[in-house]
Amino acid sequence: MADIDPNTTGSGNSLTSKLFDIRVIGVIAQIVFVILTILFFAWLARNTVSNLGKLGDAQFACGDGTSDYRCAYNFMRGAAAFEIDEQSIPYDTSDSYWRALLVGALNTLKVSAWGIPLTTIVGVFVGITLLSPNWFVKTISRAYVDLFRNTPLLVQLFMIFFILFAAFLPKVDEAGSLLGIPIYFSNRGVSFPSLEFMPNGQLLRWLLLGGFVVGLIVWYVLSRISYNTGRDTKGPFVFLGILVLSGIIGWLLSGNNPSTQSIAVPDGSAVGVFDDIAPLVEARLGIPLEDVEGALADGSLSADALEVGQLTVCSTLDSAAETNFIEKLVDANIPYDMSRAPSSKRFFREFDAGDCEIAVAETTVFDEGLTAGSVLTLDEPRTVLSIPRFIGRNFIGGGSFSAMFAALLLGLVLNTGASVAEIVRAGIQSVSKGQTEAARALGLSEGQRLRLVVLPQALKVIIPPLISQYLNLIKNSSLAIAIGYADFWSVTNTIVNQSGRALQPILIAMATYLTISLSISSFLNWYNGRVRLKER
Amino acid sequence: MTVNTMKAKRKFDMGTFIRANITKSPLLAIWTVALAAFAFWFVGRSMIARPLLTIPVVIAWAATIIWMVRAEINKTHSPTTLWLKGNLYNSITNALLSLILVVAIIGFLVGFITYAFFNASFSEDPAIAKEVTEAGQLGARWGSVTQNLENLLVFSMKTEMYRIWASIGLLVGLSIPSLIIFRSAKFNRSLIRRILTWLWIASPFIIFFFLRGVGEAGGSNPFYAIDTEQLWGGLLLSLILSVVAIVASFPLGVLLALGRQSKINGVPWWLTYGTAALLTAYLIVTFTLPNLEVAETTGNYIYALLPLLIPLIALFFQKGFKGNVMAGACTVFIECIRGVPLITLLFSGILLLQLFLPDGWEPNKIGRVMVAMTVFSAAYLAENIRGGLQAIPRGQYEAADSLGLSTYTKYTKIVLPQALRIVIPAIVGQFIGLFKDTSLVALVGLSDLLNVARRISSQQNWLTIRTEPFIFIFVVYFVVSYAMAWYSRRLEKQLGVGVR
Repeated sequence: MADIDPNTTGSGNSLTSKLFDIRVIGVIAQIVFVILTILFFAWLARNTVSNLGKLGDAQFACGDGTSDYRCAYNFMRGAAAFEIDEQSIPYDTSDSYWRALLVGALNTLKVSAWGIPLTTIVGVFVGITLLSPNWFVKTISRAYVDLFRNTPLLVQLFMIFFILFAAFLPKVDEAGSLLGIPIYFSNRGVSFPSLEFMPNGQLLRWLLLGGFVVGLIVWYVLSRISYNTGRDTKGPFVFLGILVLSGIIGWLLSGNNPSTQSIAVPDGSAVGVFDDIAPLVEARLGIPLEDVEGALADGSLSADALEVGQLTVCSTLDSAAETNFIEKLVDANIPYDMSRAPSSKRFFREFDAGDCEIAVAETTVFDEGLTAGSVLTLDEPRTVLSIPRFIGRNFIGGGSFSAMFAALLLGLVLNTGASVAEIVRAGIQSVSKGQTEAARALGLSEGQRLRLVVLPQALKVIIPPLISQYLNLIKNSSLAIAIGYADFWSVTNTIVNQSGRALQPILIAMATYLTISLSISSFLNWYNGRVRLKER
Repeated sequence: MTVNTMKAKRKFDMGTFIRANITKSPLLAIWTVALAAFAFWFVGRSMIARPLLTIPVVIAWAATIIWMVRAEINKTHSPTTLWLKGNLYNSITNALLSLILVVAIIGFLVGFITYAFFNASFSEDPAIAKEVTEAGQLGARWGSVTQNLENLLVFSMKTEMYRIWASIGLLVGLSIPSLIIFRSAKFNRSLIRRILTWLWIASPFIIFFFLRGVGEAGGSNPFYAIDTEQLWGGLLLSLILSVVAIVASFPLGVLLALGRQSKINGVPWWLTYGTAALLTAYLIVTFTLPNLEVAETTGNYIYALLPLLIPLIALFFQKGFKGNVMAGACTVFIECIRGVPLITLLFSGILLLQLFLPDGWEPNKIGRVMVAMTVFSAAYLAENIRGGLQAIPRGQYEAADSLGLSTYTKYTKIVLPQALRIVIPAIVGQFIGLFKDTSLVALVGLSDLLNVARRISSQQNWLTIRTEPFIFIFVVYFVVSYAMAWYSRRLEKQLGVGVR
């Protein structure tokens, strides 16, 4: 340890040796240091105060018209007045800057929450292939790792976004599915099927989530017991059991509430119940609904005729009711045309103007604003498997990643994955060969050897740098600003430009990143201390 | 004993082979069959698309397998067949994987070479380039890169090339004698070697002088000061920024590392808590109470209650650092800088640095970015050097103490030389990281390599051309970083640090 040990120097009695005693020097040095630091900060503060003064009183305007430092953050409550493309919570331009920041923070969280597990998968897989006995596998993994570790992440992000997404992926109307699975890659992003929980199935969703968490905890406890007693506690099976059980309980308990979704039809419509729709459209088209696709293909039904005959539907953007209704229409083979209104005001305007035969939304929406027409309750299942379909100019239904999000995620995963691969490789190699040989001598199978001997030892080496890599991923997600994904830093930067105040938003952003980093690194210190203690 | 006789002892047995490769478990059997089916489908597709390249590969694959298997059965392994056995055809799975990967690599290479050479245009005339590439399927227009090569490498410094030649001349002039003097033991303690070392240490400063210049234009001074913000750019700027950051952060990093590491006696607890209590009490009366009266929003209340943080800070400082001001301050600085993304520091440098400086100090954008990168680099460098300090055995300190060396001599002559030697590879690694990180200055509007490449797509001649410049800078970044990483690994081996 590089310390200045008070016991090894200066034990004389004379005044001079006392003066040069390291303890005395230490105290003097500290006093000097404190004074210098205070002077430095005082200098900075003086400059800052005088410079802030020059910026004008508006920077710190209070509600009552006066100006004071305490009001530095008051402006954050004003309307943000800028759009954010991606949002996990409702947001519009009249919301406050705080709300905008929260939207950005949630976007950062979203890309990290996807990125960390994906990075782990990529990193572990490539880390193992780096040690593959196959020369080609080894060389290709090595090439990937070297290429991505020796070039800047920003260049990778630009290449993924501007070359891969903008130039190589097809336009959105030409996107084909991937090997027959309805996953569509286009220059607008990725669309994929997703399981949507209707309001009626929320209990099922929370129970499944709870069961997953409880199952993981039980699995962990069981593995500790197994580790301490040597008994096989069958953790994975218990975990699966808990998950299935909570699913069954959730299924039984949910789905009994009255439906919250409705469709509305104008006065005088022929539709009285949902089942009336199919005969109506069938009559208009003049052929059985099952044959529509075939008729379109062989030309006996023209596209124009289909456009006239199909069902026209209005909905509010991205509502659960819409998803539910579309899947019902698809099940019944009913061709439809969808008009999606971004606000309920426009939704009703379209419906009142007679733009559509059927409007679909949550019942509460109709309760508030329907002026004419009658409301029919829509049968509501617990869950709906929503599949993306290309309607009009966009994919509707299913889950989707925007091109910005997908490019950022891909860049972060590939870049961090390369580093993680090296960590995993080093971790596996750190377990000495004797351990493997000893395990074989004990007659353990290859699986047991990996699971019980190599992995526990490798993990001790792998986990600390792995967590730093996760932290890096979170910090690097701030590069989202380069490709226009509205993450925390990008929103902060917009606020700086929009409000004309630089100091306050940047301080918030730095404090937030610092909080995340410090909590993760203190966890890491705690973990390291725990692991090291066990070794002795 | 030759390799042949060693390996020949084990006899080849078909039953064992089948069991190990296919029938050991149902999963393995399914996997092998699926992989074989995929290989068949994949190679078949490639065979249709590129028969002239694929067929020889498949023949070579089959021939080498037969050759290897014959050697295995007849126990006549040569080094080549042994390598084949060990690295390509260890099992059925691996043999199939080898085939699939070779075919895939060929597919990729053919695609890339067609794009980059056969369908490509090397003309700098955009009209010709357009004609050539639109006739073929998809071709590169390398004219966009070659026409902008000067911009990409030195940006507007192309008008001041003599400065760059002077810098390169200096480096070459120093390198040639170094090759002889640092290699041979004859010059080990000679004056000339010492002079050369000092020249190397001074070279970044001399080059900085060449590139930036001092004094007015006109007159007899060829190295007059230039407007760096306008002229510096491209690869040159990336290199300047990373070298400046690492050189400038070096003294700061060493001090921070020593400070964080120091174990000097701290401020006694009664002094810390006493001061904190007095200060808090004073601020509550003069600051908190008046502010609480006028507070309207939550933010106002938080602002008013800020003095309550002082006791907390005192507690943290006393518990965490035992009252050691220096260690506390250095640790807080290091952790704060390491805890935020570089891009936030760069934006702070651009937008906020001006706030902290007195009137008349107005560094340009490049200067501000340099400050931000130096601060960033110092924190990371400090941690690297601390690693080196921790690696010095305790005995070294004790030996220095027992010789009666002063603390200053102990550190400058005993501890630091050893610690710095250990951390040289880590510092090279950090330099690579910095070099890659300089690409972030593109986001604050400097014309570095990345930004120049990005702007090519808005030139009249090369509208929307992005791929070629990006491929070029990708290669440049890769070559520079990889070369340095390779050098660092070599250094690590020479210094024997890798054996930890």
